[in-house]
Amino acid sequence: MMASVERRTRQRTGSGAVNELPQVGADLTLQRDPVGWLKRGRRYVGPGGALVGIVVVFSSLHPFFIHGQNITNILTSNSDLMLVAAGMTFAMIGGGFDLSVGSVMEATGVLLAGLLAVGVPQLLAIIIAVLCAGLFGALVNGFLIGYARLNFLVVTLGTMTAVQGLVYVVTNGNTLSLSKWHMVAAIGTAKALGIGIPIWFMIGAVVIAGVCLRFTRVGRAIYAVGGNREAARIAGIRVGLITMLTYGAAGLFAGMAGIVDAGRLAAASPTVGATINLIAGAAVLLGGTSFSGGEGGIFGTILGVLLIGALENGLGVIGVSDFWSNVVTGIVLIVAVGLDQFQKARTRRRFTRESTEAGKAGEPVEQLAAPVGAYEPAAAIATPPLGPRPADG
Amino acid sequence: MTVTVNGRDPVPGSASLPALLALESIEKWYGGTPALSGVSFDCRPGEIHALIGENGSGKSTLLKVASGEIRPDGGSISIDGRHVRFRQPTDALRSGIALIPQEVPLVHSLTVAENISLGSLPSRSFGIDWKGCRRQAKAALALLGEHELDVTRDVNMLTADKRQLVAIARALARGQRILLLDEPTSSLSLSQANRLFAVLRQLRHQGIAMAYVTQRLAELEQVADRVTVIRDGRVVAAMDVGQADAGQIAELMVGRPLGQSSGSGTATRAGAGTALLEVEDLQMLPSLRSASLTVHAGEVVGVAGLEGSGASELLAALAGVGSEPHGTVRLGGEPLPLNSVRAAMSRGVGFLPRDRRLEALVPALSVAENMHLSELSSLWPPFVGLRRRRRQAAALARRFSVRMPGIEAPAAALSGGNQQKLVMARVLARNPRLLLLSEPTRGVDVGAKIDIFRAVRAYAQGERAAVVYSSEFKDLIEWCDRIVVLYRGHTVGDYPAGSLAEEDVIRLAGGAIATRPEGA
Repeated sequence: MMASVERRTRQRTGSGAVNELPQVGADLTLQRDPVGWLKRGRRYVGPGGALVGIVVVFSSLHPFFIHGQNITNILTSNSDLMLVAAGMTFAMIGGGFDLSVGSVMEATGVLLAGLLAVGVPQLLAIIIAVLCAGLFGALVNGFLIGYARLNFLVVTLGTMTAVQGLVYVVTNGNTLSLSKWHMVAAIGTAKALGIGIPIWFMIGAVVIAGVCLRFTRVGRAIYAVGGNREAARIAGIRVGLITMLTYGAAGLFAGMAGIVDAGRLAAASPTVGATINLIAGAAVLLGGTSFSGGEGGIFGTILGVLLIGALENGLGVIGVSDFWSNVVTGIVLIVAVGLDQFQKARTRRRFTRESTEAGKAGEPVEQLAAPVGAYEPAAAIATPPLGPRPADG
Repeated sequence: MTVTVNGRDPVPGSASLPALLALESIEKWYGGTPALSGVSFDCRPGEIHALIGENGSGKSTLLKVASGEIRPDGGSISIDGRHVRFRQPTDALRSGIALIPQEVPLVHSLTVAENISLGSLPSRSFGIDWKGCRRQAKAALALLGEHELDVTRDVNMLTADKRQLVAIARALARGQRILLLDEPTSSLSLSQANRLFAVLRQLRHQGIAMAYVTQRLAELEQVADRVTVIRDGRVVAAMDVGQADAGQIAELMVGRPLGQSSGSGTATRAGAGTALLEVEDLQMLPSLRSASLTVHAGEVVGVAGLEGSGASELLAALAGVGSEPHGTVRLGGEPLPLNSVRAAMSRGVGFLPRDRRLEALVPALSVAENMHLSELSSLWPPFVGLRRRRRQAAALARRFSVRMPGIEAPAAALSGGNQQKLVMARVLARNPRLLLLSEPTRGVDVGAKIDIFRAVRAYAQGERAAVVYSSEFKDLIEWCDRIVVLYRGHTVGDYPAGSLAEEDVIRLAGGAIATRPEGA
């Protein structure tokens, strides 16, 4: 007893001296931290710069490129891509990928055609079709990936193939005309405030997705699950449910894209979504969302979609074959993501080095931590002030 | 202080043989800190030479030097009397040194035979000589006295001890004569460990030289011929096994001169309250077999145990993050479900996981978000409330003196100690009744360590209590009221912290049972 009490006393005196150091970290202000904002903005320098570059190059090659009409063209023709990419952003931030979005898009159009054919009112049919797409994503893809813990590529490759097959079974490979349904056809032709309906769809989707990811608990939980699944689980987050929701979002937005395309074509085509899953993935990656999850956002995805859209359109405007646009898009993707990796690798390396080395026995720990004894009761926290250890017995 | 006495001769003639592997005056510095200073260690053919020391004493660093993973800053290595220099691990492999780490690196989807002859598959003029491959594997395993193992089975179908045998057999098949065994029994059961000891003893007769790194004192008598005790990067004793008893070696490990008695006596528990946590016969295989303990309100209980003792698994099981735990656990008199993190959280259990990088932090997210992480366990109300989150996080950061570039900076940008304080802040902010902390001071500097333990002491008052697992026994004795010791998955002791000295805990955790009667 004596020996141990003596040791303890010695220790307490030792730390007592450290206790008298001035408090560090108390000057943390409650204002926005400009450094953090700048850093987050830096993520968009790459894709933003590339977009500006493309615009400058193509408009100098051909002035029609920045004509209002052409810009409307770019936006309208990429509205389905934007919708699908918005949904894909959820899946990818959550650490996954959804290959089935193209098939779901086609299936939504076919479902819409079917509902209309049996006499369901147009608006109701649209809503049901979109909701079915979302439910399919959540309950089939999401359940199998989030709860049954199957690999996301396996699951979505499977549903992509199966749903595509189903679409062909139902349509026999034929395009179903929807031109006699005025409301559906109007999606492709009508304008509100001088802007086409597909663009409004796109704006609405982007705003909803952005708000959801940035400001809601579900959105932040998606980042946590994608960033570190195990830490999220141990912190009490419902990892399975969150994963399910990300695929639900991917399905829902793909469904909206399916409706937009059905309207633009005034038909349900079994081939509209053929390659959109990979292009949408490329757009999300171009926007700075990483393939491993936990990073990125809708703003980046907007830039990525515009980048791909502008590139494709610009090559067309200057008279280069369509086929080249895929070549260029592929190269731009690798270059952009490659540059981004370099930047991120630096941060990550630092983090890994610190944590692993500090954890290793026999090696010195880093000396960056704050001085001791800086605890102070704070109104917001319901813990008692921290004092010296109570005496034994 | 160095004790060197020529004693018994384990395998006839081996003491007179020159060392197969000799490390002399090895120096290794990290920054300005010496990790190894003038460490000498050798292995003679047919001998098992144990290297024992606490966490951080330099055991692992020395093994890494011997296996070519790191280059020493000074000293020399010789094999069979010839001076060698390792530039990379393969140099050591070629010189006949095989490192058998805790987690055996095998290709799990290949068969035993393929693993044993990996990299040197016997080939015929056309394709691979599978028959020869199997024969080679069988021969290597036979050297270990293992005749039953089916060499055509996939390695992932094997138990941990068989995998270890496969790794050793591979080394023998490659003609390696020096085995470096790094805590080989930490993931084995008692009977598996005994079988491994038998294999190692047999290898002695084949002239294999073995370095055996351990923290378990009980194993010295069972398997080793000689023992070197290492502390703070220096050799403090080298002797034949049997020249000192477990107590003396434990004292050498912590640095108390031989012969001086440790602190002893009876201490009363501080603020004994009602039983808050009652654990009966808790099991979580493979490492946790049967743990029982009671934690009273107002108490800080330390859980001590070596790697593989089940101590950290005990905390994980209580927090609901383990897989398939069994047993009776009551919290505040009511049964605590063990299969759900969320259920444990809602009943007032707060858990600080062992590895903050893998289990606690989302590195890319901001400090504020990481502090807020547990709030996301409920998805209602739908919106986060960024301003409120910022305010709370800033208050928490200030209270726990988390030093950082800013509240919106990614958690990855913080130092280890500050990351740990961040996680502490998150856990304490939920005001749990029972605080479970697994290695709370791993990789943090001294200042942050004191901060963290003070916070725990101050928190565990009134109706609240804390359970701390740490591999640094000194800290547990320093800061806890009671120490519960685990050895091979069983609780083997429950003592008032004041009655224990560090060497007592080392002895208990190492399986060298104390003479003192159990209980307070």
